[in-house]
Amino acid sequence: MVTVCLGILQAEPTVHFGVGGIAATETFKVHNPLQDTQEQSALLQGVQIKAGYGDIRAYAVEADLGYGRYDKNIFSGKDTDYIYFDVSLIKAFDFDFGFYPFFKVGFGTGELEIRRTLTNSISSGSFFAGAGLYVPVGLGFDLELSGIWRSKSWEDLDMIGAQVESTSSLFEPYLGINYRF
Amino acid sequence: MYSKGVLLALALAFAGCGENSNVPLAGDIVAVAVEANETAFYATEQVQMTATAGYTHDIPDRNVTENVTWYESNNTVATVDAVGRVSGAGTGGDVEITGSYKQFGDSVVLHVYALETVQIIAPELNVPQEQTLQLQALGTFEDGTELDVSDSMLWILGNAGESNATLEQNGTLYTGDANGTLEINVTRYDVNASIRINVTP
Repeated sequence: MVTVCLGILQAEPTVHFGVGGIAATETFKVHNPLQDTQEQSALLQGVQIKAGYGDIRAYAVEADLGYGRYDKNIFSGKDTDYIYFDVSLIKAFDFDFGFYPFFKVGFGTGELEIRRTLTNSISSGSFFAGAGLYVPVGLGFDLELSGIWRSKSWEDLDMIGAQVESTSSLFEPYLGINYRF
Repeated sequence: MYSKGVLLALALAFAGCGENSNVPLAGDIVAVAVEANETAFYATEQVQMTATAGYTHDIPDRNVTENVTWYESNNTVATVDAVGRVSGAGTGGDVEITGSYKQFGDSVVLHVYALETVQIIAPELNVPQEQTLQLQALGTFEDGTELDVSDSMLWILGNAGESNATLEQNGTLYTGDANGTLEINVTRYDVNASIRINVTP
């Protein structure tokens, strides 16, 4: 964190905003009481907006707000809206290639709307790490292509004196566009 | 280029807006059922309630007796504690015992037979000093049934005076080392009985 902050101060930081989308297969592991752990994959599709501060060639911090849907029910008979929020630290490089590769790490939280007998939402926490490219396209815009590996831990679900415990993981490709002031 | 990115993002979002129809991976609660080991009991006895949760996904039923909240419809007839143990409260009649957990709940109606009279049975009324005597409390309930309620009553030893006589809560009397008359009382739910034991040399 200190390195990132010092890096931002030494570089030429700007504010940037972005919008993009993800489509990823997420593998869930759900442990019902008195049963073996069960697995299922679901396609997560989402859009997200982001705001960041930093240098496209060096360090940056970003906050992302996303909205997504799964193509399968995992936690209830009607899993619907998934809202998530991420904070990322980014280290980019300038190799004079005309694009800027970067690494990113971060953490996030999310909330999925579900329809269970005892609750209508389930929250998640996640850690992620990945890499990508910024490709400048002129007029302050750049395309962002990235992929992160994310591990999520979901809130336990009440089964009266017992819980459903769930985790999931996914490789999350992202395509978006940013504008830097 | 910007507009293409936005369109792609929107396409990705809207692609997932339909409702899913598969069976979810996580099981859920179907119901909580409550039962009692007796549906009618005598006021001096106890009944144990059991709450069982039923689930989807072939998850085995689970005993949730200690997880539900228990309450009774009439605490002058019976009371239920946190672990589902029901005790008579004196008055006879029907009482509904409910176990609930959030919106789940179930009830059972129990009938309590009130204790109407009690009498103390002593093997003899004149007993030498320093003897041990087993007394019995015999209760008669509203349905005419007579039961030994010795362990359910409050035993009281009166006018022991200077004597070292003792009376245990199961009705065991030690006559002590002094002559005189020991007054023995039993009581519960305002139903009382008494007897006098003469302690002889």
